[in-house]
Amino acid sequence: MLKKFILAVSVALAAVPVHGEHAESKTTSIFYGRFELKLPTHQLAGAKILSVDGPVIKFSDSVILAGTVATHETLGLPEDFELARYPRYILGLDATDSLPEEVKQALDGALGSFGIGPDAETAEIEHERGVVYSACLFPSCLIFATRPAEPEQLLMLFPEGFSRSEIVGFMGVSDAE
Amino acid sequence: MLSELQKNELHRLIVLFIGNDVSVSRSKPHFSSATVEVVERMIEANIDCNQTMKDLIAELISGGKARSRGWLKHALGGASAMIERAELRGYGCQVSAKAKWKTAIIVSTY
Repeated sequence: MLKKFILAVSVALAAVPVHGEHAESKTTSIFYGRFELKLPTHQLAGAKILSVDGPVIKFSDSVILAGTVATHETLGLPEDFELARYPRYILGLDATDSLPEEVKQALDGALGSFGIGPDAETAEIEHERGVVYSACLFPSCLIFATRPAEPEQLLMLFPEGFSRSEIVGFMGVSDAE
Repeated sequence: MLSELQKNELHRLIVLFIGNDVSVSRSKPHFSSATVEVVERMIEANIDCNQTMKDLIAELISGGKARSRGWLKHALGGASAMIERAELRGYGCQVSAKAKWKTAIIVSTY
C-alpha cells in the first residue's frame, strides 16, 4: 500500500500566483510523488501533457520534460541498497567496488544506457531539502533528486531541450547552491 | 508512415531491450519515424549490454549498409529473421534506463 502510495504520481495543475497579477510570474506545480517542480504557467500554453510513469509535458517535438519517481522495486535493487547513493554510483561520484557483484554490474556504465555520453557535464547541488544531481549534454539531461526525508524514493527526470539551470530552477534550487 | 511489418519489428526490438510493457504495446499502432529515431538512440546507448545484442545490431547495421543516423529505418522491414535469432538466443537487455526509454517511445507517438 505504501509503495502504491509512493508510486502514485499526482499532477496538480494549480496555478499559483507568485507576484500577484502578472501572468508571466504565475507558476504551475507538477508533482512527481512528493517532489514538486514549478513551471512558469505561460510556458505550458499549447503543450501536451500526458502520463507515462509520471507526468510528461511535451512542449514541442524537441522540448520535453519527463520523469518518474524511482524505488528499489522499479530500479531492480535489493531493499538494503541505500537509494540516496544511486545517483552517486550512476554519475561515477562513488566507486561501486564494495557493492555485490550483481548490483555493481547493473550500475557500472549505466549512465551511457540513459543516452548521456561521457562528455556530459555533471553537477551535485546540495540544498536545504536534499541533493540534486545532474548529467547534461545538450539537448539531454539526466537529473536525480534525493531527500533524507524520502529514503525510499528518488526523483529521476529526463528533460530534453532544457539547460540544467532551467530544470533545477523549476525545482526551486539555485544552480549556485 | 511505417508499415505493419516495420511496426512489429520495431516493437520486437523494444521488447528485446526493455522487456514487454503494456503501455508500449498499446502505443504500437501509433509508432512513427519519430519512434524509430528514439529506438535507434536507445539501441546505440545500450549496444554493449550483452553479446547477443551486439551481434544483432551488427547484423542490422550490415543489412542497413551503414552506421549513420537513420540506420534503423533502413533495417526495418527486413529484420524479422535477425530479431528472431536474438529472441531465440535468450533474454535481451533490461536496461537501467528503462523508464527513460519507455517514456521517450510513448511520447514519440503523441
